[in-house]
Amino acid sequence: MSGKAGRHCPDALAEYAAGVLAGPERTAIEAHLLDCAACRGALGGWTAVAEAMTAPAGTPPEPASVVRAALTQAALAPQPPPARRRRAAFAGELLLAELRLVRPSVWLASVLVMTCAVGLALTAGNGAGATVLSLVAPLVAVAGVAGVYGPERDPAFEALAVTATSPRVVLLARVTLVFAYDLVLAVAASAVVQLGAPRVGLAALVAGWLGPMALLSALSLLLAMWVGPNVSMAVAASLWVLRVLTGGIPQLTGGWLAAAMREVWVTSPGTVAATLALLAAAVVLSRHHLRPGGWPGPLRW
Amino acid sequence: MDTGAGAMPVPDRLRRRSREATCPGDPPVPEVDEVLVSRVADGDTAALAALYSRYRVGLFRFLERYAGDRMLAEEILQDTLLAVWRSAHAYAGRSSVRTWVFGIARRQAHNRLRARAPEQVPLDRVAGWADPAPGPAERALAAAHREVIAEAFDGLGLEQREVLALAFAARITHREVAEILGVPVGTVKSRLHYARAALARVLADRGYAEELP
Repeated sequence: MSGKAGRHCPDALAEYAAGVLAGPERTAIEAHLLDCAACRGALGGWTAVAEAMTAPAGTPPEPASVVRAALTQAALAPQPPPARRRRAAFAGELLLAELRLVRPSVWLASVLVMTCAVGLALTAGNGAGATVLSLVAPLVAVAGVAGVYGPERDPAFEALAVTATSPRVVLLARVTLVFAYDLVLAVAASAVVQLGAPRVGLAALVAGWLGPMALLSALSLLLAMWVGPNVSMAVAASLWVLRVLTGGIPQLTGGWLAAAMREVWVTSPGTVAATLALLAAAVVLSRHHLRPGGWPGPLRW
Repeated sequence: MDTGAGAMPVPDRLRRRSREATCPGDPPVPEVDEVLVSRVADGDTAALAALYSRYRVGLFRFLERYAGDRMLAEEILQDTLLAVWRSAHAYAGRSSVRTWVFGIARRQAHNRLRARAPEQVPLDRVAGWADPAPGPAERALAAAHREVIAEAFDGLGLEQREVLALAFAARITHREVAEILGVPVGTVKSRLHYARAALARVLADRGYAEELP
């Protein structure tokens, strides 16, 4: 708007031409138009536009038909699934995504160690399989769980730090993946060992490693979040060495330490309860340490 | 205005407002609209039909003009009703139902039209044309047939088409257009001026108002 016309022309000229003004606004413009040739001229342009815009006014579809069509469309293209199904789908997607982010060496090392254990168990015979598996399976799982998280171990650390998914959920997804993988691996190893030496049942074989594996993994997770993966690995390895020594060196098998290790290294209500308690502690800890968008300070990763 | 609310029990207070609203100009009646939206949210298909009936003329004019094609406009209309049906529960009353419905229609249209939008007329080409005084724009527009203007309109960019279609085809006030587009009223007015200037420029390029520079 410029010059003399700017003073005269109300902004509402276009609205007047469109026919949306009523009452005093409309009256005021009409009075102004009588006196102002500039506005009459400007109105001509707007009126031409308004007429062109409404010219071939097609009849809108009937409510019944268009509503029926929309509802049919709604039935054919189902609504985005309700929250629960979306959450399930999200969990699936997250697990798949994390599957790609866990370093291949984690998968490979587990298979290698477990294969060695199976070979050892089969050649040893005489029921040594149960002992071998009860020692190796927990170690494999602990190594995986402790080493699965943290900047130096995560190829997508920076990307994860800015995603909407909370680091806790990511951590949980990875631990679940690694633990499930090691679980399957250990069950498979047990089956192979059982085939080679059928004297011990499969259930007994699994019971030999399942409890300690879960307990040590939970401890390892808690320590990894609390003080870091290296300390976690060291503590877990120490426990493991203690178990091996107290079980393997005759002079140590009678002591209180050996008795304690035997208590811990089984699948029992006690170890299950301890595992759950450690997991709960890890979840509580993760609430403090792993906030979305903010990475744990105390762990100095 | 066909309120379409006859099939539903509407509180007396709202019924009274509804009758008052059937005077020329058809201003929306917020309470009736909101009752309808909450019923749509509850899965009442008759309420959806009633809501559509209240706005169908403006809505369809807008979509037909914006899309430039009746078939496409009907498809977008269907998309719009589907979106209204599915998102009625999320209507929070922050805007009027009318601007909410038109906002949905505009987004649905945008989804479909984005892919085939023609290039916008560059602003530097129309800058001198946005003067509302009877000048080149008025002469070009006045000289052209309405069909020719409509054809020129189809060549404009989405931004200019949507603002012209809302203000003139759907006959919505500039304040409401601003709400629908999520821009200040001043922006609506300046977009309208530029859109009109762009139309005039297209017409001038086609030989109307040949005396222009």
